[in-house]
Amino acid sequence: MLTLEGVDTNYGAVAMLRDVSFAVGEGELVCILGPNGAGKTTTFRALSGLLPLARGRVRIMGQDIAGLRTEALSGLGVGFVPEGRRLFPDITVRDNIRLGFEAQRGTGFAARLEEMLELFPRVRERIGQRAGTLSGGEQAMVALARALIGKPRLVVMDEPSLGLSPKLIDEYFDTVAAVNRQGTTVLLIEQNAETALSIAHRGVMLVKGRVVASGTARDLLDSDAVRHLYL
Amino acid sequence: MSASTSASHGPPAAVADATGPAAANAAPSVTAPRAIALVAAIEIAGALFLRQFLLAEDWRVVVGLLALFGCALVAMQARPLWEARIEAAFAGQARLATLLGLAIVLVFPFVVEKSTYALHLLVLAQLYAVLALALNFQLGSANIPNFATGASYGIGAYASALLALNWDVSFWLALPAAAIVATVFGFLLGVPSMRTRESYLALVTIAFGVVIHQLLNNLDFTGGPNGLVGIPAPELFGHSFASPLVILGYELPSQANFYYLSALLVGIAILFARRVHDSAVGLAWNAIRADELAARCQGINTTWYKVLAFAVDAFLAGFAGTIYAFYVGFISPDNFTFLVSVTIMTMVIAGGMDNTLGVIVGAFLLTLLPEKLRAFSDYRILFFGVTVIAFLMIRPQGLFPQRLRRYGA
Repeated sequence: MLTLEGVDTNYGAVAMLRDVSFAVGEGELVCILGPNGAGKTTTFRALSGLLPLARGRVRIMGQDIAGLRTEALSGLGVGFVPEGRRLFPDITVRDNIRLGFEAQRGTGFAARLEEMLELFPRVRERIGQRAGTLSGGEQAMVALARALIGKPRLVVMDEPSLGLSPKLIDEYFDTVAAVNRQGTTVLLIEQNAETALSIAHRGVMLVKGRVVASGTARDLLDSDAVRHLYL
Repeated sequence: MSASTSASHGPPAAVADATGPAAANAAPSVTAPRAIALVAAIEIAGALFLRQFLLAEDWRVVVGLLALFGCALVAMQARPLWEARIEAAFAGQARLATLLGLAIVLVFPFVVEKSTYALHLLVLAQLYAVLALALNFQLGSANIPNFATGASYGIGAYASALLALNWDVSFWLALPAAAIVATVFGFLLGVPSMRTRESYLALVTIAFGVVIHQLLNNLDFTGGPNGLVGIPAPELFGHSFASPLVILGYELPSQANFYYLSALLVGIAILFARRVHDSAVGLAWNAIRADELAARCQGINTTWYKVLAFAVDAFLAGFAGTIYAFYVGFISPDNFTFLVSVTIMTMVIAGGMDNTLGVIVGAFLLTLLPEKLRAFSDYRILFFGVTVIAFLMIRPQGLFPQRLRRYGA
């Protein structure tokens, strides 16, 4: 569904990638872990086409994305939750979610919105409000709903738990796990390793732009290297 | 005219109701009789204000009226609840507001004492209102600083004038033809502009405006600096727009023909602006304005939507240019300088970005102010600048700031 093959990037001194390779298969929930400056957000930028690759290849649904613009990727069936949520603050929650739907040029927004609101009950009461007035937890839900409403086959999330309370993080990750069980492939880029691994099938650990460990969530949680470096 | 556009200020009541409890809390309810009284009072007061301002000869009256307007703005700024009530009243009585506004627009030429000067200013103000609405698609909705609206205006004017002078094309055919020509130039400007953004984009558009001005000034077939003369007045069913307009035995000066024509164009522009604003295109523009990267992540083709904004701006500006050319009958490159683009931009910013009513009020204010300040002779531009700054200090978001988008899917 998504593969990175030997990806290098040259972007800033801290956050560059060196020979990063991993794959995400259909139906999986994979998390990318790593401390600050490990290259997590750079990975997001590389696989969303926002950052040109110095070397290597990114394939989404089997297609090389070199030369594709970011906005074309949603047409391949990818939904993005960018770092910091990045809702459009001056328009309503409903319009924010609708923007995620609009690009797919589909019909039946109302029915699809209803499905989203069943998944995120708390968004329902906020639907007519300016998105900028929502709490961090609510904004995180809206950002996920905006990414999911176009029925993507793959969702890529960059640090969605940033700034949320531990209780909200658990609630949020439960939702992500539920979305994955319903058949959506998830790539979760996350600093909060323990919680992320508790819902993920597999994990990839980045340090200073290189993959230092990867394996099943269970193995990573038990591995000394990961525990020592990070947890 | 300015009062009539209040109609575009509120969303239809049925839609506003559907936005949930939170929105209902924000907008206080106003009982129907009070809302009707409020809408009628504000529109009639606005029209009266405009009439007095247009006919004022004494500078003390002009300054007094401006002070009155300033006081109204201070009150609106200090009492947000009043503003919310007025908004709710217009939203609840949208039909009444539109009909009354329409009636005021139709009757207005009859109450300006057959002053050709007042009618002339109204025609210009309405053409500028169309230009400001055109630019608002870019600057207000999508935050694209386009300093070439004046050039598109000029392209529309020259295209239609050349058609009329060289091939005897009638005004009614030249109108859409010129708009199409202007749109093509809008695309020509939009495509290279996409390689730049923000200040750099502004520079590209400034350069485009200068190029157009220089071309008009130096090409032979545009008449060079002398411009084009003798553009014939439009005719409709045998009635020449150069002759007085007689309605029910009452004779209006010939400017009234163009008053009604430009009022119609403003009406079309308002309808167009509202349709686009409420459509997926308007929503995508707002998303691009807020956060281009996030918009791209949602699959919005930002390049296409920005080029589209250039084309829409040029299309409407082309219409305004055609009416201008046929109205004054004589155009020269100096009618379409960089300064014209800056003025249009000031109208949008001072009036209120992405707010139809605000942009129109801004256009009227900035068209009429320099004319009404003639008593200050050499200092009038200084006084004009001070007035605009004062209004912006009272209302930093523009006279009428953008409101929350509210509508169904």
